[in-house]
Amino acid sequence: MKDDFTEFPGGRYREDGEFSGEQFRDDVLIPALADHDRVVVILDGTAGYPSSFLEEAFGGLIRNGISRAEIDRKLELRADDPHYETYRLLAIKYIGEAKAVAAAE
Amino acid sequence: MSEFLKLTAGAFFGVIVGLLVQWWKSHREELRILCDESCRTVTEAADIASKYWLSDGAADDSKPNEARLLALQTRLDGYRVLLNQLFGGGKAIDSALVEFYDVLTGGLFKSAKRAIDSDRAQAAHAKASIVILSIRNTFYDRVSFSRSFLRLLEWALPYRRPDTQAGKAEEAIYLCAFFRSLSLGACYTLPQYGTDHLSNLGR
Repeated sequence: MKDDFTEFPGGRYREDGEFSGEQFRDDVLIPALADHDRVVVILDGTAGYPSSFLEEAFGGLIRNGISRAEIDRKLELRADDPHYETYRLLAIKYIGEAKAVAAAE
Repeated sequence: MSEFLKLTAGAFFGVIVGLLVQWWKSHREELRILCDESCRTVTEAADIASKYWLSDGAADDSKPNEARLLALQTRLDGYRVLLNQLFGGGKAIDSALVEFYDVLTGGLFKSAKRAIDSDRAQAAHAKASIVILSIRNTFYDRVSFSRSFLRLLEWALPYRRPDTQAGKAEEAIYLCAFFRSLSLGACYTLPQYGTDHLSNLGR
């Protein structure tokens, strides 16, 4: 995250400012998932994460038509530094909940 | 055994027990301070979150409060690491923090078009109280002698704590009886002290 995107993640949508969750998802994550069999997102090194960023970036994958099975197979979320473990758990929660929303629709 | 050896052994035993008690007291104090600091930070974050979500995205203090909330989240990340190091695996704290962060900085956080969200303002304190409860509960689990003993039992034997109040009361009675029998056992193994103690009990 810090090396390929930013040290200061922003809000949910592009209109909320630079380095939003939407920007990360559309410009970094979805292309990476399309081009590679394995994508590792290392959450360490940033100045924390707004939950809105995490929800849009990771929960938004499901809403953008990427299946849960593909996410489980290709995407690995890592927090080597224990300070970032809560954000990893949050991202996992958002992926799970977004799936439920998509299924309900 | 000569008198000198008895005295030396007694003094040595006293020193060891004293050191253990001092270690336990300082450890408990360290944990208590950390818990107090963590809970204060949680309350502070909930207060700021309430203010933030009770004003819309165009409010003057919106940006400063966003920075404060993110800073407090980062501070809580540090406390969480310390709590986990001292308490060992705090799953309850982790899951409570996840829900708390979701309310603090979720939704349309950082959006200028954000409307007032009174539900989120209210939920901030509800989720904060769950975090505080889980921190305090973990603290008492670690520093209370009786709970430490029960944890040891759970670890060593196929024993699990009862869930009901009646079950817990029954457990407390068994524990009292157990410790009573232990103390009486100690009296018999230390004959001189035991004789005095038992005669005192009989008075």
